Amino acid sequence: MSRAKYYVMIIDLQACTGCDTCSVACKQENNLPEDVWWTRVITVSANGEANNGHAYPDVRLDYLPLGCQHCAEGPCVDVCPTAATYRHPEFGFVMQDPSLCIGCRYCTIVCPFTGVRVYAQDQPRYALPFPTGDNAIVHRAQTVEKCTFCAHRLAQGLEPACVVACPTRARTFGDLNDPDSAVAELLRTRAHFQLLPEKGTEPSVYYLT
Amino acid sequence: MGEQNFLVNAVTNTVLNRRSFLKWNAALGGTAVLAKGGLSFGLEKSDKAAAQADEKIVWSACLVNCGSRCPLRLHVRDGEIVRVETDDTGDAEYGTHQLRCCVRGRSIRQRVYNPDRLKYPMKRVGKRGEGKFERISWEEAYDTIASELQRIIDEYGNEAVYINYATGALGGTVAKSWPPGSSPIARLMNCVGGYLNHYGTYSSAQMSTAMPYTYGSRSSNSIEDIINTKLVVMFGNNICETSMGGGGGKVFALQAMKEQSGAKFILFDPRYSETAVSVVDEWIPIRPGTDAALVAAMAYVMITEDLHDQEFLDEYCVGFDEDHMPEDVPAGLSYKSYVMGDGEDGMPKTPEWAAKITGVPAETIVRVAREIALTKPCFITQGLGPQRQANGEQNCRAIAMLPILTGNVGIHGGNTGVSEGGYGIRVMGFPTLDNPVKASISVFMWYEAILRGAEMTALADGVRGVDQLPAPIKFMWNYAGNTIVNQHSDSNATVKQLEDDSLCEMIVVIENHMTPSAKLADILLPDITNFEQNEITSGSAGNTGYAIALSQAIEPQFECRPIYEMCAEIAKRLGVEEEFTEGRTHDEWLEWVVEETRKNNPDFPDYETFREMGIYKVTNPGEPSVAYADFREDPEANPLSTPSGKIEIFSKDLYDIANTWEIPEGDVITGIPVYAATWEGYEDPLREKYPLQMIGHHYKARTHSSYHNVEWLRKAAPQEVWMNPLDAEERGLELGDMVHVYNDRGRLKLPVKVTPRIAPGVISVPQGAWYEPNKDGVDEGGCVNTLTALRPSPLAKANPQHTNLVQVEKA
Repeated sequence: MSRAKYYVMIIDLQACTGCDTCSVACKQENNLPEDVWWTRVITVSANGEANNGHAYPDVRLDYLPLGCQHCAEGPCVDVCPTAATYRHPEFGFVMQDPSLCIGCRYCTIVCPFTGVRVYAQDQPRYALPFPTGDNAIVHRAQTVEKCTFCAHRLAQGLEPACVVACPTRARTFGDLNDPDSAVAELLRTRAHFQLLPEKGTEPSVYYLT
Repeated sequence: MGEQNFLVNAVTNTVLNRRSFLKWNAALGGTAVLAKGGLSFGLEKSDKAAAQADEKIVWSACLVNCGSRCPLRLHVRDGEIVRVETDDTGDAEYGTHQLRCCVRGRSIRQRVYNPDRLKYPMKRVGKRGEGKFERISWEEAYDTIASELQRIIDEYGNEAVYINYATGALGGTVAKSWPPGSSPIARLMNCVGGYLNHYGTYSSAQMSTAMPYTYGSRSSNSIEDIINTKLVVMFGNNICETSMGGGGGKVFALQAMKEQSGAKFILFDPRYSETAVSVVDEWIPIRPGTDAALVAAMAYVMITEDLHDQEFLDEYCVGFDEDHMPEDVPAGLSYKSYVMGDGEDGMPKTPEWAAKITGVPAETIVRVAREIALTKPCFITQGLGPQRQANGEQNCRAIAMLPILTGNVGIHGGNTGVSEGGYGIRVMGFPTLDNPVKASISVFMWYEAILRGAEMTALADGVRGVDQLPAPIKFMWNYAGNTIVNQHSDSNATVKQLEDDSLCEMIVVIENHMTPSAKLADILLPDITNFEQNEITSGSAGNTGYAIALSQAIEPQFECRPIYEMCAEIAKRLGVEEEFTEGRTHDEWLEWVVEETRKNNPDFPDYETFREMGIYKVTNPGEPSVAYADFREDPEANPLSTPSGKIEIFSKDLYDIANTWEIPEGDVITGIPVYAATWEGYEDPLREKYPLQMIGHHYKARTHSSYHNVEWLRKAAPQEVWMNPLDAEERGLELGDMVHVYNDRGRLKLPVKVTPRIAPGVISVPQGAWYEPNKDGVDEGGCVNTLTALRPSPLAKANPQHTNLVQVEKA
């Protein structure tokens, strides 16, 4: 689809130290209940299995920050029966509105990526006695939630919370339509990949190797 | 495509169970995560977050003991901290980069607004350690402390009053918990005759004691000097986890320097740490406590292949070979004699010899020794793990032998073998007056000093300032620390001793939270956090020095009060209020500190400007610093502060100590750094009963025991014992199984993480989790110090907390 701005997230795996600051920054920005995480950092080993798979001492691991890939051609939007999963009207990335969600989880089933969505089964429970962050989303039991590229922050002219939080600046966010943007520059100059390109969903998250 | 396939596979096929954030569904393809929640803690949420009420942003910082002092910017609305952000000044370029805090600083609200927060002063009721307290007034608390303090001083003398090691608030200036001599409690005590001090730290005691015998100090090149090197060799150095925030600056610096220099990184560590994941090209696992053996074998390779820098050793060093030894020392004690088998033990330190001890294959030792010797310059550094051993003094001096043997000391791109430094701004400290008591003990020996203080001597116990302590410890101050139980060794034995209140008669704990140490208090005072008052801190982030003016974000919570006020109130009751305060408030002292700082550094902003700025940064205007550069340039004109003025590979002082101190059987102190097999080391016959060596690595979820009680972080990085698949298979254990880890001192219960990231025969229990014994005495909190030993290391008399033998079985 054509977009006013083509926002992408670029994550430099050379810089990521697996510290999870992005995960926690996301949690506080979006007031996520206990056990709900929209972005996490998983550990993967060189042969593609969980980190137990590789033989000692030839251990080669990488950290992989993982959240919704905001696919340009993702099937999740098409299958949602209630329009709870929808495209951002201006920017085209994938939004999720728990107030419309009926918890059917079609979106989750058609998504090629494991664990980028959370199905919040029970009543939300919070670590802090007051809400945090600026996302006005109301978390509800038995709904699906996921990363929204911090659309509410973009509306204020701010970058997503995880991007500004990263201590090693592994994450870069910007408009790929703009050839002078930092993201366009990175994709021109650094080796990179998207997850599961063969699925044809055209993710908006790129990883630098 | 080839390079990325493994990542693609990971996302489609992996059971994503490394992080137990959630209960993962393991099916292929798109599956959601099932989040299970319980009852709602508080507000359901959430229209409030979007409301634009009056909001102010104040500068603050995270002041715990990771080595960083990361800036925080707190958004405050309706008297609550609604958002935590970090440095927003500067850019992404190294040198002017933002000092972004890590996941811990991000989570500070869960420390401020924590159900464990102490709310009002309390006194113990019932037996000490039972954890039963009764609410009292501040007046009663002050009166009790003042009268008990006076009684104990009158009865036993000021030497009986001890300020315990405590680093929960060490980043402050007035509200500062460490070093003890810089805390307001020290100032209070110095107004009434002084207190028993300590030297060293639980972090680095062996290194700070031992390294000056080699170099006269423990200096190092700054981390940014890696830009000038070709090869970085690290021993037990895990800065990507220990001080991972931008305020420490080391991670950002390390990555930038690696990129700019193109240097190869080699790491010797029993564990494939986060630093290994992030920057290291080759990980070489090594058994804990065997670094000196590895180094001796590398020296053997260099000497036999003539790869060492003989000219450097001749000109700058004492003790490499028999031709360069001090007078009055018998033959055969030089390092070369030791390495080649011409010394006392007659054993050549061949790679094959070292391979059996270290677990590093002989061919790897030969290869890396050649690589170190032939790559110039080479930056050799160590973390603080190798020195926190029963033979830690030997290990850290041994590692320094590699740069010495290869002439890498005093040059750009080289280093001293000591953990790397950075550029900082000097900020004046809070003046605490002079301590009339000259005696001090090792940081680790307070437990002994409670038991047998009046018997402790300089020659047997490392007492400094006096030949013998006059009295045991009878009164203990513990401000912002968890080292009474959790971070000291052998938690079970320590608690048992402290339960006897006829020994140490009074324990005053000043804390934010109900920690395991707080439970042993007689009087327990609720401290405010550093977000509830103004403060000043300073730190070093690689090539950037900075100072932060912390502004009070919220009102003191509950009945909590600041430490300065507590000390002033007690001073009043002891008749020294005027002496203590000099008529100044806490904030007026901060102004004084800035004024004094400006006397030496006129560029430092004045108090008002500083407070307005929030953060003041200075980038190193010069070259990366090089330790002992002037000595290297002209050793005659610029001698080291060692007795000979040279690098002392053989230290006559240590040799003399070995001949005069009362040294327990099995402890080894020598002039040169040697491999000493120790109690509960790899070669201890006790391994038949307890076959696994246990270390306790620093964990990203915590800074020591600070941040343990933060729910998000416990989810992100759960407490679990790391074990190699070989050891797990032998015991029929699988990932996530609950296990008991035990030895004669205690027993832990926690889940096992089965991973090739740790050497076979070694396990690691991340240090800092809170001690939580159940009714059977099994520590379900998983505190590593339930299993660590109280026996001090030989020279520094310090904590050997990575030297432990244990067994593991299914719980």
